[in-house]
Amino acid sequence: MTIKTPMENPRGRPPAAKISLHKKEQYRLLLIMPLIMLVMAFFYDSPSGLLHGLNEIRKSGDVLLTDYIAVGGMGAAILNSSLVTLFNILLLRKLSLKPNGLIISTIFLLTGFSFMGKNIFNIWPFYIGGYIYARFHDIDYKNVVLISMLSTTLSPLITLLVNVFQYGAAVSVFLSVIIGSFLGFVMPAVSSQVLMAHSGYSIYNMGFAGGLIGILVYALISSLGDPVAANFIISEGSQNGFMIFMIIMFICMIGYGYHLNANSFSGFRKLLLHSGRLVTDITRLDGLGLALVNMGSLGIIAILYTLIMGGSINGPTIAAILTVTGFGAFGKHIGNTLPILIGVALSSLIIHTDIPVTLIIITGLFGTTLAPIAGEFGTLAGLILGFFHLSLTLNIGALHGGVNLYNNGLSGGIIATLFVPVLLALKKGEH
Amino acid sequence: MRYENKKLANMIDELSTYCLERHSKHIKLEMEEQSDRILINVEASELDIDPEELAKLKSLLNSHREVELEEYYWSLAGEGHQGDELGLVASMVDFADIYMENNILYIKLIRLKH
Repeated sequence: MTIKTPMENPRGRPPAAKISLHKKEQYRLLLIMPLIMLVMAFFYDSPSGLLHGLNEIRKSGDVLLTDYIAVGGMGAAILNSSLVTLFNILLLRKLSLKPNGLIISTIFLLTGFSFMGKNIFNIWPFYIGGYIYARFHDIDYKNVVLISMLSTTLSPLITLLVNVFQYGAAVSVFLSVIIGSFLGFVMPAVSSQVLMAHSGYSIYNMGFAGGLIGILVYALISSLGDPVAANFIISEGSQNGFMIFMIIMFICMIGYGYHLNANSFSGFRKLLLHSGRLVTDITRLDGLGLALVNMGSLGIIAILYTLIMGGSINGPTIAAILTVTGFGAFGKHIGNTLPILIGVALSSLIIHTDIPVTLIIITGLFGTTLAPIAGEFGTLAGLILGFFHLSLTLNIGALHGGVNLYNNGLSGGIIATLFVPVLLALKKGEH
Repeated sequence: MRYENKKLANMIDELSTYCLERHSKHIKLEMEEQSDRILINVEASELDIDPEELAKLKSLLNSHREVELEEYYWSLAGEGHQGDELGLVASMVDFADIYMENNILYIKLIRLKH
């Protein structure tokens, strides 16, 4: 721990100081959540029950929406999430990467999506592909490891391909790994290219890239064989125990962030002025302390949104809550997310389709991929785009059969690509 | 390094946009390639920049290089409408020296070749 930047204290007390953490301490901080979850899993189920649950998750199909809590039980879902998260943190530590906003948000995203779609069986080909890409271009793997992690948006495709190929288990798995690795190989180039389309105004850019690839691959699968139906498996009831865990975690994040930020919230108002456009690394711009405060605040708002909308805590909503929380370190804050959340909620009142409430809630929460537009063009733009986003998200999943887990990233990418030029055209003055 | 020339061009674009957004009347940009590094020097005069923003700029550019951000997002450097992406430039340089002298802002960046 190092102390820097003494802060002025008008009341004459000893000056407080901001605290920055060393890399090792930051990794310890990141490990807290998955380690607690690892222990929690054994309170939910017996070891044999957990193994059985993990096997059920393996067989589940994984395409949107597959709630691992419904498929394998809460214990197995938590265990899966914990293991996926731990592996990724240990990989990052092995590569000596210093945690920043993108790393923190990626870890939270992986933790969340390991409740619906990503599991310890279907994520590996993307890491292999990323590694081959790094070797092929003679660069360190650490350059592309985060892209590999985010590329797991296409994890359900691996499971789908195993089922599509009917050449026996070993050959089918082998072919799926080859195709998945190829996708992992091309994702660094594709994801970087599609960024230019929306100029960084959609935060879940990998969802845009993965969605475009998913549409193509799913079309090929459908034209060569039987189309695969999307899932709609959502657990009944609400996981209130896990909700309490998340609330405690978010409060601790706010408290610890307050401590790191010289026992104050100083600078938080300035943080709210960021548009959130890529790349807005809040840990770099405002410090880890305020980033934690921001993340904790967003986490609590995401839970409140879920409850106010009449939803429950299940796999998809946990994924959405944790993802929104994570991106509190990488562009999102209350100011640029609330307009989207409210826009989606209001739109759900006027849309003529009978939509399950979980779907509306996760569309609202994941819809905050468009936060940079609300951050730069104002609340009204955010509210209006919430309507477009809900409509598009509800219809676009059919194009890729649910194989792209960041479905909102795909619709967000399309909306940002179309609307940012329009909004710029409507904005007076020099651009 | 892949796309090295494009990356350098985007960094220079971003730096010049930053200075233009702050109404600099005269900007001098220099780039020099050495055996193990690239040097980028910027001199911008009559810039609208207050001490607080200067301190923020120093802090931002003096943080460490982040190759993982660079690989994914480098194409966005210079793409902004407000010239506020210097965080991305910061992730692409190893050392930075920023100071103000006689109303001229000096930005000296070093990008090591890996």
